[in-house]
Amino acid sequence: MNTAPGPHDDLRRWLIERVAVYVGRPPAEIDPSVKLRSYGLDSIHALSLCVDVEEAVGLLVEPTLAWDHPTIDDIAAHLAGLVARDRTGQGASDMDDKGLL
Amino acid sequence: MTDFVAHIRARLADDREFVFVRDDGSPVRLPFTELDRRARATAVWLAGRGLTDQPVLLLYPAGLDFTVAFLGCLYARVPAIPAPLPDTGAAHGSRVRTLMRDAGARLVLTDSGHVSELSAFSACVADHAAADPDAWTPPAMTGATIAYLQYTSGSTSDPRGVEVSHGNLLHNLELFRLLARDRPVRRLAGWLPHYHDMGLVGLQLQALHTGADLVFMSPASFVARPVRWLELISRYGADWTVSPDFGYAWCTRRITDEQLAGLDLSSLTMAVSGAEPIRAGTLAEFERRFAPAGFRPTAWNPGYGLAECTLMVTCVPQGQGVTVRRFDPSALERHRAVPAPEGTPLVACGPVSGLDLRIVEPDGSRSLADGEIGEIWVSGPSVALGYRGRPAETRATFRAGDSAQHGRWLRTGDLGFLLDGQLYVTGRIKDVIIVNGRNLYPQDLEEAAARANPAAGRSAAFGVRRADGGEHVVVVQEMRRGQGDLGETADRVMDQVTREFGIPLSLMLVARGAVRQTTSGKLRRRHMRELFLSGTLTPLHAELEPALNDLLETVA
Repeated sequence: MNTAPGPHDDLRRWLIERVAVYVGRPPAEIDPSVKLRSYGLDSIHALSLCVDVEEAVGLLVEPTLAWDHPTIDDIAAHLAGLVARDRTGQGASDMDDKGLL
Repeated sequence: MTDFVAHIRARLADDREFVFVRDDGSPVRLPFTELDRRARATAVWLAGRGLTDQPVLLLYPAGLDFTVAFLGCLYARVPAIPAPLPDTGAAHGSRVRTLMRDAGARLVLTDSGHVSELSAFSACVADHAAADPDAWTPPAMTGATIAYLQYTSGSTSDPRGVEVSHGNLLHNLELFRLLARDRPVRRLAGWLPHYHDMGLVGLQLQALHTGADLVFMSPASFVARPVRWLELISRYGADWTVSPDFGYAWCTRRITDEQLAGLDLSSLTMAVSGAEPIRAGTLAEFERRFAPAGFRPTAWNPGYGLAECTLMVTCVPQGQGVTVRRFDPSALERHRAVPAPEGTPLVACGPVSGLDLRIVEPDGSRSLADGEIGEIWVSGPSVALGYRGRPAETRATFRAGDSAQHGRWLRTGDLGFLLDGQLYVTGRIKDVIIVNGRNLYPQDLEEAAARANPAAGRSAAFGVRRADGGEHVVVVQEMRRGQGDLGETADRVMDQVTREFGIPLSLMLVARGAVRQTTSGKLRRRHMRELFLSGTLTPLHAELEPALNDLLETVA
């Protein structure tokens, strides 16, 4: 289930599948342009999604990922950006651009 | 023995320990004797600052530093207030200030890793290394001495600090201990936060009280990878754990076959479930899923309790197993428990033992018979002293009874019934909403919702039960003036509440005057809930969660 996604579209497709599992709906009902909270995604799911990203994509993300980037499209774009930055050797994490510890 | 400190100090043993397991699985160990030494040093430090009897706020991450600080406060007769570390953001900072003001606390203690980010509250680190533990002399304490203040978690607008005494603790922990019957607990394992009554009393203080090891981890670590909790039980051979229903359900959902293969839960003789409604389905699914790992159905201990009664009111004792009975759903709504073979399953929460309990007509007029649903009233030495600095609320909640002057009953605000010697909990008349084992207070939700909408009039927040048994938050908010783009307004309100509380919600914007109050100006949240569920509210704009749409369709 956690096959590593690559480019932007794959990321989006993978995110749709993950979210569908969390909110207990078929993937076809998940619109990537709709805010995740409207599907009933709560903080437990949101944190778990971060763990999925870490495990499947190899990116460390903020636990607030799903609130900072509220739709699947937003998250996919954000992650694609991190992946691209990773390839240019700037570190695969969004921890450092937030000014947090 | 009338105080908790004397009780636990009489049981200090070199071979008992607290073990905090970090995210990477590495343990940090603290034997009871060293814990006691650091607590004495902390107490000396606190007394040296003249803090005896002065409440102190404890803002700590999960870990042993909290335990040392909390115990240090107990040893120094300083009422500790365990609270969650605030996230960054104004709303969270204001919660800390509200708690401090309400409790009259002048000091915040934290660990060295957080002292700079909490500098706005002049937080400091209790330096136990700088004080001499042997300089400690126990302050005078009795059963009536306040041990700590348990704030109903997360409350920004109407905080209530439950004053728990040493006598309350000793009595309730003894009830808890007796649940194990002839198999005394040797090692507890868990992940619940230390500022949650079940994490504080059910794990930390219980371990100290019974002289058992405690192996624990951070709540965030559990949520991220729930298998870690069961790995603690496996690896350390724990025999007792506690969790709300959500924790067991989360394990069943998230733990993979591969992870399951490495688990051994055969050491577990007590798995307490409490702090939120217990779903029969959660127990059955967990049992099925983890039977191959050695989990035994007789290990379940469903229970019921609340911070106002220290922790526990009733709980099924060790080895007795789960009783699930089915009741006619429409009769339940009319406050009657009528057995029905295909009806709603309810999990029995154990017999009444060591406390007095009765079921009372919600208007307080009369006691009800077995099988009749009413408010659960409790009386006995576990019932806390009251709400700090709130005599009127204390009288209304803690001093109910036939004589208004000398009432000895705690009104729990929960609904239930007794049948064949066990308590069943069916609902609530108080306004609190419980999501994933966490208490949410409607005042806080309403305040956040109003902050996000300058044109808001009154707001009313309440919980509704979804078909899957979980609770869902609904906010009904009046538009006071200027309509603007209602979709945009709704979006802003929902973003705010979701971000602040980490929950999805449904929102209904309504015309001015649609949110009802009593003549004395109190919000009628339960009435608003009924109007909402019956579809009689006229929305200007509504954003309803899909699961809720389904629910409203069934009602209609």
